[in-house]
Amino acid sequence: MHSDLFKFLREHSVITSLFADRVYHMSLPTNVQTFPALTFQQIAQSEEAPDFEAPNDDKMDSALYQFDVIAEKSHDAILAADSVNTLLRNFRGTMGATNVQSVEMTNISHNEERSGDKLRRRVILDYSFTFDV
Amino acid sequence: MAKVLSKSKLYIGQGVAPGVAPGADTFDQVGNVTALSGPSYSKDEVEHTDMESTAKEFFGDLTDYGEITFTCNRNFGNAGQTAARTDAGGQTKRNIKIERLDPADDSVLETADVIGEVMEWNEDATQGSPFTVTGRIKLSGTVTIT
Repeated sequence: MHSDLFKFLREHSVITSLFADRVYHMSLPTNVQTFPALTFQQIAQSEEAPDFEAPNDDKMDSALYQFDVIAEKSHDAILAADSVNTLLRNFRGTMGATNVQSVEMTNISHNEERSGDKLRRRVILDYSFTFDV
Repeated sequence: MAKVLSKSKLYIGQGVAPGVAPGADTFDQVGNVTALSGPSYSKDEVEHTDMESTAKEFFGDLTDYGEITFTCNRNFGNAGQTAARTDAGGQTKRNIKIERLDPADDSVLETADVIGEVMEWNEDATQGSPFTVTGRIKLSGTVTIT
């Protein structure tokens, strides 16, 4: 799932039109000077609906992912975050080889952080992905 | 023996019981079970106190083996689930088999054979949750343990 999600983000036109190749796993590299940028990381993963067929059952997992939209201006961060949310919220279908049964938005929050003498805006979006394993 | 986590398999025979004996039947496993309850063993108390008695006297009536209730993740391709749902809409007794397994290696610890009839099949589709089914099989006659 993780590698398929990364590839999906790197190749989807909505994401590339906003961020180009500024999509990073975990944290923003210190040398990034162009914004907005997108980072993502997995927060948790658990198995859904285990049953007595295990270990031979068809498995379904849920994973909580955090996406951070980072920009120098609030307007840019919020607009980009809205586009990411439109893409991911209630997504159903395939990401690479992974069949995603649902994506549910669980949280959106706005943050501000200082980088040197600059303020940046960070919109955090959390989603729960349920997918076939 | 060490304690074991629960792991069981539930099977429904294709033949009509008791005409087809368990040993001659073909069984479909009810797949993807998450919980299995029963058989339960209970007897009514029959009082036979009389004027000769010095205290209340009872004996146990015939054993009622109760019912099997099961919960499973809905598997549209599973023949056992399909059979159970079909039987819930009819009046057919089947050979029912439960295997108790050792989760470490799936070896069979015990098998229970009994005749039963599927009395309930309840489907539960809740948004954001796995599609599950609960069912009930009423048991008739003796449970044979091997």
